[in-house]
Formats: sequence, C-alpha cells, structure tokens
Amino acid sequence: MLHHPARSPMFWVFWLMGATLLAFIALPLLALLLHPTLADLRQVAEMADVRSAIGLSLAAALSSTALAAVFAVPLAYVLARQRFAGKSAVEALVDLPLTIPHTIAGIALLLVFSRGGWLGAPLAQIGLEFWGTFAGIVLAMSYVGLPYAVNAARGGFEAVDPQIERAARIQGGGTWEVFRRVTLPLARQGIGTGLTLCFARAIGEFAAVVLLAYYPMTAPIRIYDLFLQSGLRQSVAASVLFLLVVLALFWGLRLLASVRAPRQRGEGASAWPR
Amino acid sequence: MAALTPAASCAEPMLAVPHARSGGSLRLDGLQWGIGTWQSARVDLQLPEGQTLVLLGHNGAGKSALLDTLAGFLPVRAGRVHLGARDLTPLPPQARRIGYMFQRDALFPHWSIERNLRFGRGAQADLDDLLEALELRAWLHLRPHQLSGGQRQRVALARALVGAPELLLLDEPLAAIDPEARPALRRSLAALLRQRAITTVLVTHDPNDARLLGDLVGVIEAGRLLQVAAPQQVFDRPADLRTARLVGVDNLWGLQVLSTHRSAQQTVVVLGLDGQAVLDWVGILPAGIAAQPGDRLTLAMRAEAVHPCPASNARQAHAASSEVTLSARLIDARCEGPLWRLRCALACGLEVEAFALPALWRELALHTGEALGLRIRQQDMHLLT
Repeated sequence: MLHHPARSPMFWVFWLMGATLLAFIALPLLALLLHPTLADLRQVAEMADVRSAIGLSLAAALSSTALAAVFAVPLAYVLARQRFAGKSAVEALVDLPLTIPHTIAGIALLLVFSRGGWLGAPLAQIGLEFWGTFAGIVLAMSYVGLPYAVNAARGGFEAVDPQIERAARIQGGGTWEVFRRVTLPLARQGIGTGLTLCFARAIGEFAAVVLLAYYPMTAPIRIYDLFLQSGLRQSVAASVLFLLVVLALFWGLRLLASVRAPRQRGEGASAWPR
Repeated sequence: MAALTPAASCAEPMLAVPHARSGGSLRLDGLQWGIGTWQSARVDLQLPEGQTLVLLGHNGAGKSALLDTLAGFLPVRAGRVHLGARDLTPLPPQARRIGYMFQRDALFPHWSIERNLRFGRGAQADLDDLLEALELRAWLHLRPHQLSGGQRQRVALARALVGAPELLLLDEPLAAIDPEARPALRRSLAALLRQRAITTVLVTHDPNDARLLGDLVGVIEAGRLLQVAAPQQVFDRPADLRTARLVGVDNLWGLQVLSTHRSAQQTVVVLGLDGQAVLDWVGILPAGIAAQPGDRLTLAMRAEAVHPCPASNARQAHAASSEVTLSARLIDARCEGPLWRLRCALACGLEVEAFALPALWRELALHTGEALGLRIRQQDMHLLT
C-alpha cells in the first residue's frame, strides 16, 4: 500500500486560498459558456461578419506575434545578457504599455500613426496607412502585447546558463550559429510563453484597437457592436464562439509546448516543505 | 559508480602511444586581466609546449578570470597572449582553437552526448580514441541529464579535447566529482594530459590536483602570481609566507633569530621564542634573508616532513647534524585517509602537525598528553621572511 506523507496545515490553507482564486477565474467563464443556446451559437456562427471578425482577430494577432518574434526576442536577449548604462530605463520603457490604460495607448498611437501623425504622414506617402486598416490593428495589438513577449523571452534567455553558450563558442561556433543552435532552442520555453502571452493579449485587445481601427472590425469590437445593436443575447453567443476558438488554439499551443519542452534536471520533484 | 571510475587498465595503455601534437608554447607578455573594477597584476609567463601549468589559489584569486581571458571571453586589460607563433589577443574565442572544460560541465542539454561532441570543432573529428580513453561509448545516445555528475564531467573533458585543440583550459575539472571517485578520475586525467601532450592550463584549489597533474605549479593570490615552479619546488620550498599558506604548509612557526654562526660551508641559525632556543637551523641562507640576531623569521615545514618517534629518541641534535629531534606532547590525533595526523605541542608552546603511518601510530601507542619525539631533517625546514 502506498504511504502518502502527511501534509502540513499550511498546505491545505494555501490550497483553499488557491481554490478561491481558481473559482474566481472559472465561474464567470462557466456562466458565459452555459448562457447561450446551441441555436444562438449556430445563428452567430452563420453571420459572415462575425466569422470574418474572428478571422481578422486571429490573423492580426498572429501578425503581431510574428512581429514580436522578430523584434521582441532580440531585445529580450540583449536585456538578458548585456549590462549597459540606462538598462533600467529601457526595462521601464518595455513595461510602459503594461502600466498605461489602453485607451490612452490607443490615443498615443493615433498621434504618431494617424495620417497626420509623426510617422503616419511619411509612411502614408509610401502607401503604409494605419488608420482603419489591418496594419493599424496589428500595430495596436503589438503595442499592448510586446511587453509580455519581451519579458517572458528574457526569462527564457536568463535561464540558459551563459557557460553553455561559452562552451559552444570555444568549440568553434560563431555567434550567430551559437544563438541559433544553442541559445534559441534552450530558451524556447520562455520565448514560447512570451509569444503565447503576446498573442493572448493581442487577440483580446479592444481599447487601443478601437481608437486606431474601428473598421475593419476585430472580434472584440464586433461583439461590442452586437451588444449595442442587438443586446446581450447575440453578443454572448458571439463571445462564446470567439472564446471557444481562442481556447482551442491555446490548448493546442500548450499541448505542443509540453510535448516539445526539453526536460530539466530534477523536474517534477515536489519541493513542498514538510 | 563504476562509470565514475574508469579502470586503471584503460589509463595505462594510453601512456604508451603519445599523440605529441600541440600548438606550441603559451606565452603571456605582461598580461593583465580583470572583471569589472577588479584587475590583476601584470604577468609574464612561458609555458613550454605540451606541458601542464596548474594554477593554485583560493576562490576569488582570479584563476577562472585568467582562463576566460585566455579563451577570449574577457578582454585583455594589457599585454598579449601568444600560443606558439600565433597572437591570440585579437582573436574571438571560436578562432583560438582552445579546448575549455568549465567548472560546471556546460554540456548542451538539448542534444545527445554524440551531438555534444560533434559540435563545432568535433564535426569532422575522429572520436574513437576519446571514446575509448574516457569510456564514453555506451552513453553516446543519452542526453546529459541522464548521466551522473562524474559522467557529465568526463563528457565535458572529451568535448574539450575533441578536434585537437592547441591549448587546453581546465577550470576545477574535478570539483564536481564525488570525493571517492576523484582520485581515479585524477589519474585518468593525468594520463590523458601526458598522452595528448597538449599545452594545458588547469586551475584548482586542491593541492592534490597540482601535485599530480602539473608539470609546473603557479600559486596565485589576488591576481598576483606568487610563484611558478615545478610542483616539488613549490610545495617543498614555497617562495614566501603567503605561498606557503596557499600550498598548505602545515607548520609555519614565527621565530626569532637568537644567534648566527658559520659551520663549514653552512650557516647555523639558532632560532628561539621569547629568548629561549627552540632549534638550530643549518643550511645555506635563502636569498634575501640575512638572519641577523633579533630578526623575526618564519620556519616552514610540511607535516609529512615531521616524523614522530618514541620520546626516548628525543634530543636536541647538535649543529652539524642533518636532522633535529624535538620533544613534544601529543594534543590529539585523527585519521586522515591512509595516515594519522598528529597535533603536538613543543615545550615552548609551539604547535606541530605531523603525519604517521598506521603501523607507526600503532607502534607508538600514544595517548593524549603523552610525550613523543619529532624528528625533522634540516633540508625539510625552510626559512621564510
């Protein structure tokens, strides 16, 4: 017979507090999922504008995640490995979109990227416009999502022992080769988490997007629009549809990450104090 | 555990066929290295081709920083590093053709052992010799996390040796090994270094590593190279008091010169404490020591140079004798591996550390507080300033 060591009272107190939090997260979602009928769901699923809004949200969020992969990952590596004057200012700047209300972020983006904005005007001359365009949606999503990508990827890079990179260099690997073959694969869990969080933040963004690009409508804006036009019933059904698509995507990503993640030494061992 | 202790039988044949390939001698010309605000003194050093220099020093002495500088991971603060005809100073790490075994194994955790060995320089290398010598063949398809600490260190050593590096840097190669497995791996490493004849710099704080692995031993403290010489020279005749402490000289007695006179070709220095004679030192005075009456000197001797004997043998030898025998009392004795370490006190209050073989210890049958004699050869006592 298996003998389980007795848990301390602290263990149960902590679990109780944790369970309260889990219930707080799960209950509203459960209420949302149980609210619409199948007929409601079918009805909104048949609405072309709802489907295209969900598709647009997915495409824009994926694009902003791709941008994060290109721009956030290098910055994360620099922050993880370099010490330089003004580093804390750079870190604060990276975190700024997390701290400011997203409505303000949207207005600030307007000032820079609208047709008359600092960068919007010159970029419009080469045909790149952000006001009411797909590019504008991606831009707004990226602005709020990038800090998550930078911070989590940075954590991933910091978890890679610099000695391993040095070992690769001294074995004859060039800097790019070492980054590509050693650092990047070892940091992939952090980078993956960062990009997933960035995607999650991007796909749900409303305030910053609505100011820069009300049209074409992303899913959150279309849901809000349905709420204003038709009331709660259709907007709840559209919300559930959008939620199901997003949850399916995240579960798929988590599954992929858990299958591909390299095993760490000592992983799985319980560290609870007895 | 067997995997941690490669059989001695595999080490011996390796000695028979030396590879004798290396990139030339290592020369440091006024090299100064550092990290942040800390920097070393400037060091000039020549390590002959194929020889091993063991750098001995405490943590924070700058040993690992020196290795990182030689490898190109830290910029040279001043001076130059030459390996044979090549000036390594401006080269990036990947162009230096250096094998580096880090203190932590630093294996690539996402690859098999074979891929670890095949990275970079090892891509086209013939691995057979190394796999045989370090008994790695059975683990080629395993990942590093599937090996024990000792096994990983052996893979790390193989990776450092793969592809014929011209300089080998070993940072505490045995530090992560279980103490009981350390002697066997130390012997394997010594055999490998002799067989491969690669110019090697090894840093350690273990004097045993220095004695067995070094052709030369350098003692380093706070970025200063205090002494570089053959192991026997450094351990038996440390250049100064700091070096003596770093190489673990057990008996360092601060004594006063009571009188000095010449006897044949040698100088006799009567050393004492509080005006009372302790012993007569006989020999040729080291450079820089005048031994004038009233001078304070340190008399250094290793515990293994102090031979316990029955109290009846104790007598103060006359000046011409090649050894002295001092009367002492046993304070305590403890077993240290194959030897007994005795802590004794002279009548003047000085404490003496001595070693005894188990057979002698049984024969002496001493108890705490009992009298014994301590016999020391004159040539094993060294005067330091």
